[in-house]
Amino acid sequence: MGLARTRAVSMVGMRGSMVEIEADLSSNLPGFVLIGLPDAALGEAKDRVRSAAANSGCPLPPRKITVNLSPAALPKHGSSFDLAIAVAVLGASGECDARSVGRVVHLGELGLDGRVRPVPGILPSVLAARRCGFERVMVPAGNLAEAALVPGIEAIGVASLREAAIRHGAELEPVRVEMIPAAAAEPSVQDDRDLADVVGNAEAVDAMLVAAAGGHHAFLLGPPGAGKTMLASRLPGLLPDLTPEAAIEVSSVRSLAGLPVGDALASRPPFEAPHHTASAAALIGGGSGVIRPGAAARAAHGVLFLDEAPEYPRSVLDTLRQPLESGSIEIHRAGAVATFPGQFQLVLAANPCPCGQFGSTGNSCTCPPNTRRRYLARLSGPLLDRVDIQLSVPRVTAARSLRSGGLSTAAARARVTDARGAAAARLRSTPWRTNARVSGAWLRSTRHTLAPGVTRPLDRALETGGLTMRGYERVLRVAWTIADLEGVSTPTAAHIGKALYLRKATAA
Amino acid sequence: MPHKDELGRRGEALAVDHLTATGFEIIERNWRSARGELDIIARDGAEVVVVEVKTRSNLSRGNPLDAITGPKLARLRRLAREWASEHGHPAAVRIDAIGIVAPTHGLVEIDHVRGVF
Repeated sequence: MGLARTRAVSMVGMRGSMVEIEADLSSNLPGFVLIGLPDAALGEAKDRVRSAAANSGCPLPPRKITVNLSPAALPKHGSSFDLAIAVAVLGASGECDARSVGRVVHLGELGLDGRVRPVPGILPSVLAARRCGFERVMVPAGNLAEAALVPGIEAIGVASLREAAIRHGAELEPVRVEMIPAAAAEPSVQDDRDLADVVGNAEAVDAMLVAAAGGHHAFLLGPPGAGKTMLASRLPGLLPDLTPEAAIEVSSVRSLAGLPVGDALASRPPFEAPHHTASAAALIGGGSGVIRPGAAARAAHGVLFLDEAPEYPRSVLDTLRQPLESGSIEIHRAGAVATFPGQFQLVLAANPCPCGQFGSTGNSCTCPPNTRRRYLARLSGPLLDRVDIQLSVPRVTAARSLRSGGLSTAAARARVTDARGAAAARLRSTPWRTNARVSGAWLRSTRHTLAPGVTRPLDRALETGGLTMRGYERVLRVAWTIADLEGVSTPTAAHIGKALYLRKATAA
Repeated sequence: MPHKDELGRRGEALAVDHLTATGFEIIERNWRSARGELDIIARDGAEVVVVEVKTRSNLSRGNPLDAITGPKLARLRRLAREWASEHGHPAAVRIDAIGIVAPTHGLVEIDHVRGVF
């Protein structure tokens, strides 16, 4: 009897692979066999497809149905293959035009009533279909807005299997059904967290500006109530709008995480602040079946804020070392390797000791010195070594609070955008775009060596062992950013001094 | 006679008509052994065919062919072997299934699946 095939997409991390779905009807007693390494949720597709087809007015033929998902070696997860399996079978039975079915990529889960349910990961799946040269993709009506974000491929939204069958030439009367909507995107609230709200902490505001301009990671150390969280939550507002490529990555990760994407690509950098009880899988991503992105991947091209950093298990924090180094997150499982974007900006915040009072006025700290030392030692050296800006944030006193910083987020973002522009222009011929990412070799190259007089305090610190070579380079990177912010072409001694201050504040 | 037996009889009669019309030669009907019953045994050219007939008056309980499940098919195979050895047919016996939807009024649908396994 009949044979028909169509395509669907299997996502592993951010990479989508095309899966060919073949349906064969053989003259035998009714049965449904699904082969080609399906997981449990996909194995249940048989029953969903059978009921959905019967309730859509195009019951599956009473014959033996064999559906093969190939390549068979590629693991396939979840329920997004339902629609493709159903139309392939209907194509094989002659209910739909098999050639029409074969030209379209199908994505979507079926309800027992025959309606098509939205699925996560539509955006990256449609991108994968376009990359593989397909011109048409059929998606759940609830996901149509998300699929339409991808230019260059025609997205068709269907609310029910019946509608899909009619699109493929089935002779059925159209029946209006209530569409199953995707989770609604949060209304895009204007971020009302303005930098001008930060009162009295001018140095910290400055440091945030430098972090934003250079893409530097930051560590904020200070007693409770000093405003560390307030500062960190204002950092995404200082970053420029996402580039088109970054916007696609940010929205794709959101889609894979099952978060609403809405009808527009993300334009602003994301902000993720996981709780300190987060596991390694929650932070960088994981899961045994479907590998899902974690908080760090969702923060890609934005800010990952870890409040109370020493309270995180050390093993969890140290999973961040690889993404900090390489800019991408790789999760290895027995079946597959998933890759997610990992170019987030890390902001760590910590109290100076368990009681939090050390160093604040009145010195009411009750922690023994050893406890204090051990508390901060929970942040591993290699991790802190990758954090360019290390700033102590003192509690705001009455006298200081009178001097309001006054720099608004809008004004600060304009300065940051200019500084980033200057850095990008200087780094034109390199693979990097921000100062935080440039290599040590670039910093030391003769074209960019600073005058000996300028780097004298640094050289001395290097000689006396106060700075490591790596630390030396980090100070230089921050100094370049400060120069960019001030519109100066090369850093001066004052910039180096400020960069040293931004690094050494916690060393005291 | 209860309604379901009557429906079954009617279905088997329809199946016999259908088989005869398609060139089958009926050898035996309702052959019984201690372990069960074969509905129809017929000859299709050189082959001996055991035909299982399933009749339903409508599709509300699903397609009649759905009722021929794995265990039922296994029993049919055992019975077919038993019948073959009793009648001295050493060659393999084919098993066909006929699903009939026979509403009290209206059109009868006959679905004949050859060589089920």
